[in-house]
Amino acid sequence: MSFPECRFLKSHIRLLAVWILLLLVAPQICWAAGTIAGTAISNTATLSYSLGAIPQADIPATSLAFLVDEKVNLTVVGGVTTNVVPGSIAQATAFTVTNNSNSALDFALTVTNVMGGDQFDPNTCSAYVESGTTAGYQAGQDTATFIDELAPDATKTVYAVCNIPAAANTDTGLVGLTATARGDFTGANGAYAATAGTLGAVITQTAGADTPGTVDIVFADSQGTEDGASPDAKHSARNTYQIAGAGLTVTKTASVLDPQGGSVVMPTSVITYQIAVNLGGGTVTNLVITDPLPAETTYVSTGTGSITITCISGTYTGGGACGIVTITTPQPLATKTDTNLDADFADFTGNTVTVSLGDVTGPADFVITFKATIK
Amino acid sequence: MRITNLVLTSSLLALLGSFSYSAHAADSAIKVTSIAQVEAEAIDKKGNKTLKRAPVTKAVPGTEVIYTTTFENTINKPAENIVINNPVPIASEYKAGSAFGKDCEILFSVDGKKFGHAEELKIKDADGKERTALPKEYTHIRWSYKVPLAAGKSGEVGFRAEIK
Repeated sequence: MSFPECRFLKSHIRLLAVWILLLLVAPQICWAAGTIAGTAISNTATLSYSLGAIPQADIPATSLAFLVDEKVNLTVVGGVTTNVVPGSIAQATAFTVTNNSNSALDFALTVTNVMGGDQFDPNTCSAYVESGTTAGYQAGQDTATFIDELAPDATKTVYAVCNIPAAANTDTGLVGLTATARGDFTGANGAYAATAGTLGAVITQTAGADTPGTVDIVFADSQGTEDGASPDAKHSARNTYQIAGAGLTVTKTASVLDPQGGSVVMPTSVITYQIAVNLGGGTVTNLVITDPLPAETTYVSTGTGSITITCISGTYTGGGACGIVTITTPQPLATKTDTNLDADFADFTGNTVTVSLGDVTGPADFVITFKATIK
Repeated sequence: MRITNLVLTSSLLALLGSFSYSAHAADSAIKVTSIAQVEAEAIDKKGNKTLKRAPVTKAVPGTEVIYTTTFENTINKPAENIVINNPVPIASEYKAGSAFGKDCEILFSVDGKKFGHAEELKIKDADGKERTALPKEYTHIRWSYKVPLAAGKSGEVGFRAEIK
């Protein structure tokens, strides 16, 4: 274990025996967070003198000892953006919690999910502490809901785990984590007493006159994103969930042209279906659009057939080229021969139009059109 | 006779009752006391800002403590060669330039053995290089009085240190 503030001590201790003795005897009082609360400090001055050139006995004087008090301080760090898919469950986003106090403490954890400045609210949120067994959130391993006995200057990773509602691509949902220092101050002279396995009590700042002989409690935390301005033994931060990846939208429209040139729905009217496929970002594998036609309609297959597929932007398996393709004859999917956007991407079987686009990487836009007549 | 004896005993007891016996070791010629204080801003009666000293109570890491040692010559002979040795308290860092004491030579040490002025104190770095010690690395302070302390006179020395 290293004591960053105690480096100067090491440079003086030449004798190994003395160094070992010091390690055994000296209390572990040096931390960046400060001297451990409860440490007694006094000053001893020794006066030596002579009377008529005859040296006299030394006279020591020691000041009344006082105990180092408890300074409660902590830091929660967030600022992480996690990509999620709409409708997904138990999505984890990581924060860190550091104990900056001069004693070990427990930390209670709460998640806030409703705040302004975002487009959706994550829901059904919980906080779990990283157990250290496997990196990343593991539902089976990271089950602790509060931080137990965190040493001064030590840090733990905490996950906010939430469900993501329906949302559009690039939408953001903010989630906040608040850590509150907790502990039983029932040790000697009011010092912190460990309560391993149990969340410590709510801590209150020492009110009224502080005393030299007991460990008084002082809050020294700053304000985070979710907690109050006055020191309150809390700190907090926010992370962002961002919709990315399968931001896939498929929209179908239809227009009708009757024999007279109007838009009356009647036998022999021609319906033009338009299916717009938009992928905002990320990659979707084996994207297949299936559209069963209504029983009252007949796919228009005369001449060159009526399915057209237009790739406006995006890439797909093999980096095939975008362009307008007209299916000349319906092809079964089994005969697809390449990854280009061409004739064998579409099939019409059993009154169902099937378009297979393969692996698509967004941002990508496709428009599929075909015609059917009303029987 | 009983009655007479009783009267005699109680008179004797009455005489003894006011006698108090207290045992002292031979009193030191010099009375030495050491105190620890903190300083806080206060408003005096005229409404001016002033610094007030009080006993150390709220002692969190970072607090600056003022240690003062006073000494008084309580006998009728002058005290000579007064030297006060003071290790910097545990868990504390000496505050640069804070040591005070009239008519004293003030020296420091980084090992408790060799005492000198600031520029004479050397420390070896982690890589073995020697450099001048920083005040916060001092481990001891020594005040050496250049003049004798006359009978009945007092003196005061002190320094500041920050709780680590």
